[in-house]
Amino acid sequence: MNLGISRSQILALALMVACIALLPLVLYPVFLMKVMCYALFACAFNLVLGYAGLLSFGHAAFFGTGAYVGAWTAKALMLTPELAILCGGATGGLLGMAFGFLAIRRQGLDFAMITLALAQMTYFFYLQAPFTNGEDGIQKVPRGDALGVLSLEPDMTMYWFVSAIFLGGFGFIYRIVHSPFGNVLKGIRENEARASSLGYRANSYKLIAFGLSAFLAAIAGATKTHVFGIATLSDVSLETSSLVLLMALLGGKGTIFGPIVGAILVVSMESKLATMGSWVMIAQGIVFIACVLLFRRGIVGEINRGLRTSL
Amino acid sequence: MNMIRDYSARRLIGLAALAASISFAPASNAQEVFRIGYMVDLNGPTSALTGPGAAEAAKMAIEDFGGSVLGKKIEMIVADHQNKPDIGSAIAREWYDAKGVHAIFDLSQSALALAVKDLAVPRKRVAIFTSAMSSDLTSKSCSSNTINWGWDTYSNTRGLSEAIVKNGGKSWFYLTVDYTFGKMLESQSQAMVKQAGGTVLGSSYAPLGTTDYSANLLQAAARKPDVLAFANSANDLVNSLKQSVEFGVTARRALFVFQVPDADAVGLKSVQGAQFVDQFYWDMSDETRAFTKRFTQRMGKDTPPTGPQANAYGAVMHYLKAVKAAGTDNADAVMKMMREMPINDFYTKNARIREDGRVMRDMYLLEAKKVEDSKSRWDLFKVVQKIPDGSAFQPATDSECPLIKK
Repeated sequence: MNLGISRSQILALALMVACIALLPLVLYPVFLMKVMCYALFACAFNLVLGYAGLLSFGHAAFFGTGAYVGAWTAKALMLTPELAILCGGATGGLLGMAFGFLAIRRQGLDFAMITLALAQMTYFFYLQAPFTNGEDGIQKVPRGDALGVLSLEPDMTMYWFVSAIFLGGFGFIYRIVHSPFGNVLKGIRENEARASSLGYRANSYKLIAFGLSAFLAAIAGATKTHVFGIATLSDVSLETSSLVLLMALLGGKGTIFGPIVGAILVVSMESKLATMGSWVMIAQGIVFIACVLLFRRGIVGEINRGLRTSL
Repeated sequence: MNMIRDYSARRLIGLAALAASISFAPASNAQEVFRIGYMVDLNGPTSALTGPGAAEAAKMAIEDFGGSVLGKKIEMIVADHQNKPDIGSAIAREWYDAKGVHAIFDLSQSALALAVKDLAVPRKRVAIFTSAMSSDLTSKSCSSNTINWGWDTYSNTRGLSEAIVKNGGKSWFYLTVDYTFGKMLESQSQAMVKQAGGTVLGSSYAPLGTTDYSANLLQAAARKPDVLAFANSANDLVNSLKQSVEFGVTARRALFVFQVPDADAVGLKSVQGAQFVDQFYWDMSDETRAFTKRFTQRMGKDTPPTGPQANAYGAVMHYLKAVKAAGTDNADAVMKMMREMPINDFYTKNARIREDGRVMRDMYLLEAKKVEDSKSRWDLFKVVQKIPDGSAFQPATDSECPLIKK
């Protein structure tokens, strides 16, 4: 049982913070911001997949809701970015509670299919809703001034803003996972009947975890919208749901740092291979197969097993 | 730290290979070359319409131009936006900011085109759309740094509707894909039908990605329209067209977004007699046939170029000519020169660019040939009439573009 932070975790965290601080000197900051948004999304997804053992196939609904609500509140209501992002997060969280309320009554494949169906309904809602402009999306979302004073237009200012959100979200997830609540969640994942017999109301725990995960996924979506200034249908699409699943599995589900590694890999492949034409999908497929065959626990999962750490 | 025995070397090798596969190639020096970007859907649903063929046509333009401008070698980077506007706009940002790209071409998705427009203007760079169809690009979302080279929803609906009504197709029924794109096509066409003296009998909506159109087609058949209009595209169009033949719908068929690869996919039998508007058909003239011959040789297959692929050549060529004539890569000067110079290439004759970025080109009303008139696989269409000098496009007086002085 590790309630405190272990030495290897401190090392990994220090490495991550150092990377966040130094990488913009060599890599393009907008690319790094995108990685961080997806990493937060993947961490949030991992909260239900890795720690509650629920395979959600509809997390794009929350990510996209965050993106659309964040975009709309920033553009139409002229909210400052942090408020717009919180609005997006809150809406996503509420939607998550509603979806969770329906879906957690079932497990395994049924659960996945219910979340998928609800996510598709969400997709068609955004396709039709007038405020989203259909397939044109919400364009030209202003980055605005953080707290009403600090302009986020320069990429580097935006970068620190996104870093703060990412680290905040990551810290929040870390606390959730290592709290008594998180331990109960893991207990439910391992043996739900036993956890119930000990007096824990398993469904309530799962519902709260699902809601928190949806909230953080929506925060990630709203942040991404502010980085790029657009919210479009691809954010709520089925593809985004499968992408985040790929990130979590690739990095290692049920590990703290795994989803981040997965997000780095997937986003890098998407953008670095964009110039190679047909290879993006093929490379993603090959990497996924290699991952499943060679390191079934994901990259960080295998490192943990090899080095006996709990990253 | 002890390695556990079964943590085999194989896994480590796999891990190392994976890490190595993500390499970050350093950007080469932007000063020595003149760089332009070509962003398109290389694998997705619109890749037959634009895709690798369009990128190849752009390359042909660079070669025909001579390969260098302002004393620098022209380099074209190609990227796949994967139909995700965030991927596309991230690439566009990087191209403009870090790679010194002067102009980005194609952007074959309206959402992405709109996003890149917002990137190009403050950075004083150029973006030229050669396949995106939103008429907003040259109306309320126009800019001084962007051009729409070819068709848009206006030309493909209004021009077509007017021509068909004048030709005797008075009563219209619409089969519309149920989202903004379909509704935009439908409403623009209906406005023109009514203006030209036709009547609208009704519409039937089907969600994106529908495979069974029987309910919609029965509704259409019951109203007995002169014209059945298909306000959809790509797979939806192919499926609904095929089924309309199976259901024996005899009405004249109007298509808003139609191209050679679609006709090949549906089969001429299902589409014969259907009318639509395009900027280009490969068998229009000797020049277009000559271009088609070169193009198909380079592509290694016999599919003739589409309108957006011809646009790719035309846009890159005209842009490079303007850079040469202006003697600078400054976007304002280049844009000014592009507007001053008439556009002339293998399929465009003396077209001009209006203040809102609209290329005032000739458009063509095309008709799919009867099966018995088609001599070969690609002998698919015939030109019914020319819609000259930009008259297929939204008139300047109706444009919501603030750059047009009224």
